[in-house]
Amino acid sequence: MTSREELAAAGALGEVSPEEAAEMNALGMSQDEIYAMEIAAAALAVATVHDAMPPALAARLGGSPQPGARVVTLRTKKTDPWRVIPWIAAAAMLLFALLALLRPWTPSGRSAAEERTKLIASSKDALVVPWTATNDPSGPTASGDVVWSNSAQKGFMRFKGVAPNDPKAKQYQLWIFDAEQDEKFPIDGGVFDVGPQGEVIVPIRAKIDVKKPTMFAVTVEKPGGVVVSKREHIVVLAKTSP
Amino acid sequence: VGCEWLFGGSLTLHAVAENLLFRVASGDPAATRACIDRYGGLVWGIARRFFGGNADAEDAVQEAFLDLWRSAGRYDPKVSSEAVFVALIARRRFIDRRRRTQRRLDTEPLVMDSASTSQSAEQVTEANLAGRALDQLRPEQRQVLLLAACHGMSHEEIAQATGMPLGTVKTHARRGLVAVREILSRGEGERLTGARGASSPPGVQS
Repeated sequence: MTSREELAAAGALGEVSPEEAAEMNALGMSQDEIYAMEIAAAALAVATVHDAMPPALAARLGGSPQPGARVVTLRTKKTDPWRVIPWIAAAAMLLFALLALLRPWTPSGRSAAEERTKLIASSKDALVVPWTATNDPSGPTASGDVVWSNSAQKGFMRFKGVAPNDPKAKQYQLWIFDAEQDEKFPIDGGVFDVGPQGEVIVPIRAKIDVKKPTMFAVTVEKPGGVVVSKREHIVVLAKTSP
Repeated sequence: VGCEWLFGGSLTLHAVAENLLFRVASGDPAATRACIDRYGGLVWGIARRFFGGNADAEDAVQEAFLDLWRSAGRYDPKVSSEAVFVALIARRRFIDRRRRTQRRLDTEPLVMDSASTSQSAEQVTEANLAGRALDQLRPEQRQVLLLAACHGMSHEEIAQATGMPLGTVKTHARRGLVAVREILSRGEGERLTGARGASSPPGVQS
């Protein structure tokens, strides 16, 4: 049994195991407890970091070049710095839009990772179940976990070791087995892709309400997914009870 | 006219005007530039420790500042200083980014950098408090905590780098951070007590 404060510290260091996440949930820990530890970690960074930002990066971000800094400028004529602000704003918006396309932003504006942490901390009924790999070629050593809250009807899958897919050739699809549904027809949890990055967090998009989830399974399907899976390629499974 | 109803009665109009993040949240473009000037070194330094001094670090810094612009309105000066809030947002972004990329960092030495930037009085105060907290930890606990909190290394990476058992690394990192949190809380209390009637925070020569 880990102490409440140590669990909060683990959260602030980004090192919470699925078992500890479940423990945090059982203890009813709040986001404020983790936030307090994040403040301590951030204070350590303030204490130990004394770098100067490279002038070129500062200029790229829109900051003022530091005195004496050599900045290579591509402009050939003087420009009123106030005139470039709209361009900087436009560039920032474009960058934000690109980032939004590249990563799984949720409607709240938080990243999927932040939303996942929030769901675990705030939903008393949130399940955190580790994946079991099935030796499928798409992820023989796949790991991670699935988080699901029945009250919020919301969840996230976290994967490590699942092979990147070509969305034009195949996609991954989540299936949620519900005690109140015929097991031949599990609930479609949505299709998703895995990129080359090491760990991915994917929001679950269940097509209908989930009542009593008994198992989560990820299969490999044709692009766009299927209505009924042949279950030929099951990559990972997560049973909610033994 | 005061801003008590907006800011919980704890801030004056002057304090609001001086606070960069409030100005960022209100859409003041000059404040975003000033914020990059003031905290760019801090964010870059943390990014460099997480990702090494490569293009990844530069991309991470850009992401961190975008997060900061979005989060500026949530800053509460009663909970932390501006510098700590900025570092907190940056750490969150970098931890998330590391999870996504899972790239190994080039471990940086834990010595202070010679190419340093000037710091605000607020940052100096925070640094003093946190430095005092670090001094009270055992050397091995301090080493593990710095690698975990400031260099973004996973427990497994720290175990490999230091030769310590994984369980020991986990214990040092967590209990070390808990200890720092307690020491900072006590120090913050002392600072607030000492600040009454004083114009400069402790540790800053005026």
